[in-house]
Amino acid sequence: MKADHVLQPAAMTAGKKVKHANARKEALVGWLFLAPELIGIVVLYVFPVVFSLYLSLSDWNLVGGLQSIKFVGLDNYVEMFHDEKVIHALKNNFVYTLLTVPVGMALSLILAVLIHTKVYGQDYFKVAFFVPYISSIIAIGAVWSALYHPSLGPINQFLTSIGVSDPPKWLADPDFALLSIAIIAIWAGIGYQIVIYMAGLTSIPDDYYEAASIDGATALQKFRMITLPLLGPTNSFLFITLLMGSFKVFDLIAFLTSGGPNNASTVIVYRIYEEGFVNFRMGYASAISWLLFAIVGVVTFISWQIQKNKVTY
Amino acid sequence: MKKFKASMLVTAMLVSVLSGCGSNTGSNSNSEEPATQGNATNGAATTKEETKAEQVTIKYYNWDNELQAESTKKYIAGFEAKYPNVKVESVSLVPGNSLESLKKLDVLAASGESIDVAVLPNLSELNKRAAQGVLAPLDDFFAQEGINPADEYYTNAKFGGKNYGIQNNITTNFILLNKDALDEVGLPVPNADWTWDDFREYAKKLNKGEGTTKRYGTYFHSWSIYMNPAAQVHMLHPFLTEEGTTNFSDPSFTNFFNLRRAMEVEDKSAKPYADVIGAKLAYRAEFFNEQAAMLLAGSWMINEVGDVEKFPHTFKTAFAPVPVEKAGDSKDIFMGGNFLSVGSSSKHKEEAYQFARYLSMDLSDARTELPGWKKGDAKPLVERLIGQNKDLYDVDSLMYTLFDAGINALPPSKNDIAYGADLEKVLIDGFSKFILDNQSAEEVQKWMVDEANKIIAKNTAK
Repeated sequence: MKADHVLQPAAMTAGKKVKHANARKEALVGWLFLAPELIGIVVLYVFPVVFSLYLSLSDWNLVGGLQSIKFVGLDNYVEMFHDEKVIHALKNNFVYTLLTVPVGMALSLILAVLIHTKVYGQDYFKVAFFVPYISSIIAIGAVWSALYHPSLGPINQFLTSIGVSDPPKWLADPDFALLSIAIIAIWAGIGYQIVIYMAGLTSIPDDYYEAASIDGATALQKFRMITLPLLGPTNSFLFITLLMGSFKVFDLIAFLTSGGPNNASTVIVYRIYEEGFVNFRMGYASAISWLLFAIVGVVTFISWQIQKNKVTY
Repeated sequence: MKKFKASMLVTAMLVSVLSGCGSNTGSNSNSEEPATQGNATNGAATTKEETKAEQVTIKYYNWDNELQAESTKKYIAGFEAKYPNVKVESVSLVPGNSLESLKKLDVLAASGESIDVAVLPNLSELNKRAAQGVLAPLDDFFAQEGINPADEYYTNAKFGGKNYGIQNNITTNFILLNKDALDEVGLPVPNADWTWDDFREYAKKLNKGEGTTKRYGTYFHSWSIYMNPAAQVHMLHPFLTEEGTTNFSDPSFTNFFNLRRAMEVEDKSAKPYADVIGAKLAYRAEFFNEQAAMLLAGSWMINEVGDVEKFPHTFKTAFAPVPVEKAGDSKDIFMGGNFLSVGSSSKHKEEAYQFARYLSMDLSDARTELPGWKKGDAKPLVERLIGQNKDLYDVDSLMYTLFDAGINALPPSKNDIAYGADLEKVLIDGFSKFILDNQSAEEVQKWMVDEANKIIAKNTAK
C-alpha cells in the first residue's frame, strides 16, 4: 500500500507520454484477464480445428505416434470423392435427413396444434411426448430393438397377424435398417419439437383468430393464414437444428446396427469413426470431417437466407 | 505503475503455477526410481553389481476383469519372487473388453507413453501394430536365451520375418453339445471324423418344440467364423491363400453359405441371421438356456460350462472337434490366442521379455486358460478348470477333443497382413447380401472375390 501512494503521484506528473504507456499497460492487463478464457478457447477449439485441417492434408496412422504424420497435399480429398463407401454414406445421410427432418417437423407441428387447441389433458400429453427426449438414447435403442425383433418382436407379430406374409426384418434388413433408425430418432425427438412449437403457438395473440372467426374463416384457413406464417422463426430454428442433428447422427447407429447390415445404415459420421478409429486413418477421417462441415455449413447458410427473406409478421 | 506491478504479479503467479506443475512431476518420477537416481549421481563410479540390483518397474497392459486380475496377481507374485529386482504393475485398461482396451493402448502409444508388456487378442491386431512399429522384435531375446520359438509355442507371431509376440493362451475351436439332448434323441457324441453334413443331420434331429421355447439344433453367432468355419479353423489363413491371393473363391464358402440357408429355411434348425443381428443375441445364453443344442465355440468356454452361478443350467456338456468338410480331410486346426508383446518404446525391454516369457510358461494355479507353450502338460490344468462341477462335463470327450483326437496345430501362415479386418468386413457384408438379400451364393462369391482383390491390390501397391 505504501508503495502505491508513492508511485501514483509520480505517474500523474509524467504527462502525456506516460498516459500512452498507461493505455498499453491497461491493454496488457485486459489481455491477462482474458487469458484464461482465451487460452481455453485456443486449446479446446482453435487448435483442434487447425490441427484437423492440417491432418486432412496428411496421412497419419493414429497408432504410429506424432512422428508418423506425412504431408500428402490434397490426396485425401481426391480419394474421398472417388470412394464408393463415402459416397454411399453421404447418400444414406441424405435419405436419413429427408426421412427425419420434414416428417419430424410436420408430425410435431400437428401434434402441437392439437394439444394446444384441444385443452383436455394438455399437460399430460406434453409430458408424455417429452419423456423419450429426456431418456437415454441407448435405453431407447434397447427397447426399440426388442420391438423390432424380426421374428418375435411385437411389431412383426402384429404384422403377421393381420396377414403380412413377409414382414420387414427392420434393423437386420438392408432395405429397412435406415428407416428403422429414422423412426426411432423421430419418436425420440418429437417431444422437444412439440415444446418449442407450443411456445411459438402461445406467443400468437388470440385477437387474430377472433378476427378471422368473425370474418368466417375455417379452421384450416386460420392454420394456413395465421398459425403457419407466425411460426416462421420457430420453423426456421427447428429446421436448422434438426438438419444439423440429422447430419451428426451416430449414437443410435453405433449402438443398434454398427452401420450394417451390409453398410445399409452407414452415415457420414459413422464412416468418419470407422476410418479414424477402426482403420486408424486419421488424415482421411479428418478430410471427411471437413466435407461434413462444408455440407452442414452450406445447407445451413442457404436455409438461413431463405428463412430470412420469408419470415413475415 | 500500479497496474504494471499487478500484471507482473499475475505473470509471476502463472509462471510459478506452471513451474510448480513441472517440479511436481519431476519429484514423482524421482521417487518411483530411486535406484536410477542414485546411479546417475554416482556417475562413472557405478559398478556392475549395482546395475544388476537396479530396481525397475515395468507396466503390463491388459483387459483383466476381476477374475483374471486375481490370476494376474498370482502370476506377478510368482515372477517377482523369481526376479526380485523387477516390479510389475498390472494396468487393466478396460476390464473385460479387449477391443476397447486396444483403443486405449493405441492412444497411450500415440501419446508417447512407454509400453513394456501388452496383451494382444489375436494375430491380426498384433500385425497391425507391428506394422506401425509400436512393438519390439523379440528375436534377439530368443537367441540370447538359446531357444527356437517354433519349438516352444503353437503359433508364432511373425511379421516381416521377425517375431513380435509370445503366445500366452491358445484358443482352439470345438463344438459344445448338450449331452442330455443327445441322449434324448439317441445320438452318440461325435468323433473327429464327422463332417458338416453330419452336423446338419444332428441339428435337424436335435430340434424340439416350437415358438419361443423351441430348442434349435444349433446357433450361429454374428461373427465371421460362423460364415465359413472351414476357412477360419482348417485353413492356414482365414482370408488368404499362401500365395497371398484371396481365398474367397474357395468352394467351401459357397458350400457353407448354402448350408446356413438350408439349416435356417428348410430344416429350421438354427435361428435366422436376421434375429441374431436384429436382436443382438448372445451365444452363451443361447446354449446355456437350451435354445440351441450345439454351439461352435472354443476353449474359452471350458470353465464357463462349470460356472453355474453365471450361467445357470443343469444339463451335461459334451465336446467334439470342429467337423471337416468331407470325410478324410485334414483335421489340423488353426490355434489362435493371446499374445504378449513388448513395446518398442519400453525402456526395460529385457525385463519385459522375461516377464512375458515367464507368464507364458507358468502352469501353476494362477493359470485359467490353456497355455500356448507346448512343452508343458496341460491335462492337470484342464482338470483344475473343470473343478467341482464334474457332473456338468463329459470329461472323456473334452480330453479327447483337446488332446487325444490326433489334431495338431496348423503351421503359421506365411501371410502377415495388417488389413485382415478389411477382408473380414467383405466376408460379413457378402454373407449379409446372401442371407438377408437372398442373392445366390455364386453371385455373392464373385462380389467378395472382386472386393477382396481391390483391397489386396490397394495394400500391396505401396
